[in-house]
Amino acid sequence: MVPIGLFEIDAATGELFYNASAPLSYKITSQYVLSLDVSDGLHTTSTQITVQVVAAGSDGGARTSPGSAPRLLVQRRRGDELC
Amino acid sequence: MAEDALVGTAVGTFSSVDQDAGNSFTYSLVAGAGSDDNGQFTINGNALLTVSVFDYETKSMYLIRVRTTDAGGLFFEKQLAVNILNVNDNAPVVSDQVLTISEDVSVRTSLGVISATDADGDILSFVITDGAHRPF
Repeated sequence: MVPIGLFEIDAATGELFYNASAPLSYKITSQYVLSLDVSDGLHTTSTQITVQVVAAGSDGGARTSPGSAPRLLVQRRRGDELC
Repeated sequence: MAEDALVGTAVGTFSSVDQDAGNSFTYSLVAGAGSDDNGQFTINGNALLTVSVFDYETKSMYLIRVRTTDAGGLFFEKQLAVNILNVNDNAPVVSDQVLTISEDVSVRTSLGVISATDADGDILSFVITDGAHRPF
């Protein structure tokens, strides 16, 4: 699900905006799919807009972010001591 | 006349003036200058009728040449233009599109304009119907 207000469209011009009201994370969600209706006042045509989130600093094709160092994630189970 | 009108729709009626009082007239489509589109029309009495369905987006003006003949066989010819009026008979055309955005944007950012067209030239309005509203 897309958080409320993440994307909005100018009804008159069709310009799509990311609203900066919630953070984007390529690692968490790399793609959003929006349903869009375009109307001429009598007829309506529906379409799908796919928004691909690309890693910071990439040109759209890179799969990793050059500015982000590898991290080791340690998940701790309840009751276990972390050494 | 409006596009999409049925075959047989009356475009209008003819009338003539004549210095001989009480004259009567018959009308016909004739060859000659401005008769390019005579074949798209027929005349019944003094009424001009269509014999095909017109599409404004294909052709918006038709030229005909009409002859009015009085009871004595004298005639006068005139070129007429039939203008087709646009009707909102085409839906907007928009295709699925893929846009990209970098994850590090921190202010309101434009992803671009959704491209859509409408053959009638109508003003279009855009609304997100799913994917950007409250999920509950």
